[in-house]
Amino acid sequence: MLTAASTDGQIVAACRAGDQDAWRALIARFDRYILGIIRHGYRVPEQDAEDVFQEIFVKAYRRLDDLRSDDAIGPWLAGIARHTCLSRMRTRIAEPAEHVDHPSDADAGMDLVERAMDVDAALQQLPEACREILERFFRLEQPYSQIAQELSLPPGTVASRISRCLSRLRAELEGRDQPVGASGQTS
Amino acid sequence: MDIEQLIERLAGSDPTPAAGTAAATVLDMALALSTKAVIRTSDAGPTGALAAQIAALRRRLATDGERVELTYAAALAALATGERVSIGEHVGEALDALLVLAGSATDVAELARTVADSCAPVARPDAASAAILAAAAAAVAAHLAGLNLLAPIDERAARARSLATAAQASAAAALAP
Repeated sequence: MLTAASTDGQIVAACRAGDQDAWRALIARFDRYILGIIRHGYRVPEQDAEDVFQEIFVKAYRRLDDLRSDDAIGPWLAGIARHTCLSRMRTRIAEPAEHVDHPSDADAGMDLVERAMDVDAALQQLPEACREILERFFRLEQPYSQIAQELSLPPGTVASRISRCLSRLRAELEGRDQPVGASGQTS
Repeated sequence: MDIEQLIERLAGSDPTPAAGTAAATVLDMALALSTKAVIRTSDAGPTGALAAQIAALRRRLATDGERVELTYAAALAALATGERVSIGEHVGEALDALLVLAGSATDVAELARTVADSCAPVARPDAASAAILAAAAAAVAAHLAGLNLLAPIDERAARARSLATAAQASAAAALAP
């Protein structure tokens, strides 16, 4: 019997066992988190947000066997959400030209998507703790106090941790932007 | 609305804009001072990265003050109708908006303290002042929440007070030598 006190791992284990109530519990536990990524992180238009939300959980349902650690369900769902949102952005921008006011709008939109994909790829190279804190602050727009409480961080350290993680993200992105020389080394 | 117009309207007889907008404007100024401190530090590393957090908080703050005023006006209108359900709903929304403003102010105070801790000495007074301004805005939000009709029975008013206390602690830390 799942309750509000059940761990993420217990809920996922019940999902794996085919318990439909467990799936409802999983969605209830993560719906705000995932909707936060959809709406705040990727600014998916409201008319698309519900579809994207459903698509994410359909993927999760089909791919649950790919999840290696049941306790890591949150970051795993967030990863599916990021890819689904990016895919939706690409689809919208690739729509026929008559839906685009100016050709340059489509180019600018595609540049944005490519930049978002670069950032997403760079994020994947950061330690999990960095990914988590950046996602909570910038995508979910959580206040410092909530981040400190939920990640068990000492009060007064969150802003500086975010800064350090951003510096690492910037270094990762700059490394990606370096041109590759004839020797295969970045300049 | 530019600052002159805002001050004119704050001094006017209309119920809004009022303290909520004033507090949000003060928070914007606190973020501007924090930005100045970061820029004057000229650090491309962690201190420079604080600018991204300032920008993020500024985006969140953009609607906080207006939301306080709109929900306050809606609560006043509901009170005028005397309809209990409508009053409960709108007074609750007004309290929620104040709690959000208090939360933003607390984050701004904490960020300003972090800037004060890491910025160049020449920029520290601006960052510390930003923390003080943000703590004042948090106190305003908590004060207004305490006046809300639901305050005696709603834990959100107590949470707003708690946030204001946290903001005050950040400001005190920013002033510490």
